Amino acid sequence: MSAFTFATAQYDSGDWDSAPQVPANVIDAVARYTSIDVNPAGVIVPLASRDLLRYPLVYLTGHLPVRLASAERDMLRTYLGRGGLLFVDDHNHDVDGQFHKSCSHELARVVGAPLRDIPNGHALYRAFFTFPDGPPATSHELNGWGDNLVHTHLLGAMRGDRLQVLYSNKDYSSEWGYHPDNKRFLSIDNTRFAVNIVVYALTR
Amino acid sequence: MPSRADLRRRAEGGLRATAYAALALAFLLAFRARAPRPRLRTVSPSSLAALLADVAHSADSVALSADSALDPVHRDWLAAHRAAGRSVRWAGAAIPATAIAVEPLGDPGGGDRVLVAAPPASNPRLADSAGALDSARSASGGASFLAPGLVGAARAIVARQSAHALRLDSVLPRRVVVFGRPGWEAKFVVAALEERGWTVDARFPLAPDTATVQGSPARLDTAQVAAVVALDASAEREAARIAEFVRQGGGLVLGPGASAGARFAALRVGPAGARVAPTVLEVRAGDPRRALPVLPVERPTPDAIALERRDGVVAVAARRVGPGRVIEVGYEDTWRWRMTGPEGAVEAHRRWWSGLVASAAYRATLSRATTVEVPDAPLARMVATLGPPDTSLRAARAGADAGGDGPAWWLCALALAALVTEWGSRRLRGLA
Repeated sequence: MSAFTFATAQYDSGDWDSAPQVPANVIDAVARYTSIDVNPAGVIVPLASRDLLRYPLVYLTGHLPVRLASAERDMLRTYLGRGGLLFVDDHNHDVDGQFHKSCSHELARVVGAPLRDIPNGHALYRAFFTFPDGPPATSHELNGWGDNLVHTHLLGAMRGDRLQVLYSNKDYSSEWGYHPDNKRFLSIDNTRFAVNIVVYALTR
Repeated sequence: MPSRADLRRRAEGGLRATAYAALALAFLLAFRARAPRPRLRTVSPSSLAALLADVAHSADSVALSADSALDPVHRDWLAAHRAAGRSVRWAGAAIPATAIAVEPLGDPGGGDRVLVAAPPASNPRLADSAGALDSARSASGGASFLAPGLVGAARAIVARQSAHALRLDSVLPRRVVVFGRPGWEAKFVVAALEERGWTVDARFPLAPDTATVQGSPARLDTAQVAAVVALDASAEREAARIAEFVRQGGGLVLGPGASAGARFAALRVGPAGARVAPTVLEVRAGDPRRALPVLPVERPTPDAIALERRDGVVAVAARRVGPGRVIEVGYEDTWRWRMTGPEGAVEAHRRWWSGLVASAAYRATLSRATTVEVPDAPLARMVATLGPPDTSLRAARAGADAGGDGPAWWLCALALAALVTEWGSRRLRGLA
C-alpha cells in the first residue's frame, strides 16, 4: 500500500513556492495525530505533468497572479475529473488581491463554474478534529495586510458530493509556515485543520 | 437348348406373373390400409395450422416430422388430440436443443446475464425486442452474454430455432460495507462503488481509538448489506463479524492486505504470496492491471476457482463458504489504474470493482409473477408435453411422402408396365 505523500503544485506563472515550510508542518501534524502512513518528505509536482495524477491531494499557493498554461489547465481538468482534490490557499488573504482574482478565475474555467461557499457543517470540518464553526480563523487574517476580513467560509467546487477544489482566503500558508518544532510554543496546534483536509482527501 | 422363341414365351409368362403378383400385393395393401395408420407430415410454420385443423376433424393418428419446435398453442393442440385417444408421435432430429434464461446482475448499474443452452459448436445469436444484440460460439453446451439493457423479451436463435425469456426477477438493493485504512486505495474503491450506484458504508481507522465512519458499518446482516470489502489488515478487528455475515450468505471481497492475516484464514481462498512487481510501468487500455503490483493467491482451497491470472500466478480467485461467496483480490493500488490510466480508466476501474462486489454479493431477488408462458426451452417443453421423439419415424420418413400410399401406386405401375410389355411382345410376334 502506498503511503500518503504531500504534494505541492508547481505552476509556470507566479510564486508557487511561497510557503516552503507548509509541507513539513502538515506532514508532521498528520504523523503526530493519526496512524496514517505518511512519507516524511513531500514532493513538488508540475501542474502540467502526468505525475500530478500520482498525488490525489495537491496543495497550491502563491501571492502573484496565476495564469495557467493550456497544458496545465488540461491536466488539472483531468486530475479533478478522476477524483483528485486541489487545495488552494491565497497567501495574500485578500479577496481583492491579484492571486485571488486570477486563481479563482482560472479554477472556474477548469471546473466550469464559479467557486461556491462550502457550508460550515460540511464533513470536512468533522473529518478528524471537529470545527463546529467552520474553518478555523488564522492570526494573519487581521494583521493589517490583505483585506483585513475574517473569512467565514471556504470556497470550493464539488464533483457529485465530493470536494474537488478547496479554496481558502484565510492564508493558512502563513499560519502553517513555520518549523514543526515550534508547535511546542502554541497552546492549541493551529495545523489541526490540515489534518482534517488530509483525512478528508484520503477517505472521501 | 431352348430356342429364342421359347425364351420369349417364358419371358412373357414371367411378365404376366409379375403383373398378377403386383396386383395381388396392391390389393392386399389396400385391404390392410383400412386399419388406422400414422400419416407422416413435414411441418412448416405456415402449414401447421391447416394441418392441425385437418387432424382435429379426423380420427387419424398423427405422426409429425418437425424441423423446429412447435409453438405452445400447436403443441397443446396435439397434446389435446392425444388426450382424446389418438396416437400422436413426432420426430425432430433437426430441432436444436435450445434454452435461454435471464438473470439480473447484482450491479446497480443494471444489466442482465443471459445464459443460452445450445448444441456444441453452434452459433447462438442473442436478440431482444429492439433487435440483434450479440452472437457467440457455443463452447460446451452453450454461451453466456452480458446484456446492459434488455428491451422486452430476450431471444436466443440457433439455426431456425429460437427460445424466448423474460426477466422475471429484480435484485433488491443492499449496501456495501468497506473496511480499510485511510488511503488512496480505500478512497477510490468507495468512490468507484458509489459512482456506480452502490450505497457504501465505511470505517477507516485513523488512530488507535479513532475512526472515520461513513454510514452504519457496524450492522452486518444480509437484510441490510450485500457485501463487505475488506481491503487490508485493519479489517481484522471485524473478522469474526464478517465470518458470521458470510455464513449468512453475504459476500466478501478480500484485498491482499486482509487475506495475508491469520484472522481471515477460514474465509480466504488462499494466503497472499510475495509481491510480484508489475511488468509494465504505464497503465494501458488493453491490460490495465498489468501495471499493478500483485500479491498472488497462493495454495487456493480445492473448491476455489481462479478468476484471473497474471504472469503465471493467480491474481483473483473465488470460493464459496457455506451460502456466502468470497472473492480474493491480489492487486494492490488499483487506484493508480483510475488516476493514471488512459482515457476511460475511471469507468473501467469503477466497473471492475462493482463487478467484483456484484459477483460476491448476497442477492435478494423479488420475483415478478407472470401468467404468460414463454417458450424458454421449446424442445424440452415439447418433450415434456408430447413425450420423447419417436426415432423410428426418422427411418420411415425417407420412404414416405405426405400421402403415405406410395407402395400401392408403385405396384400398380409395375403391373401395368409388365402387362403392356407382355402385350407388346405378343403383338410383335403376330399374336392377338
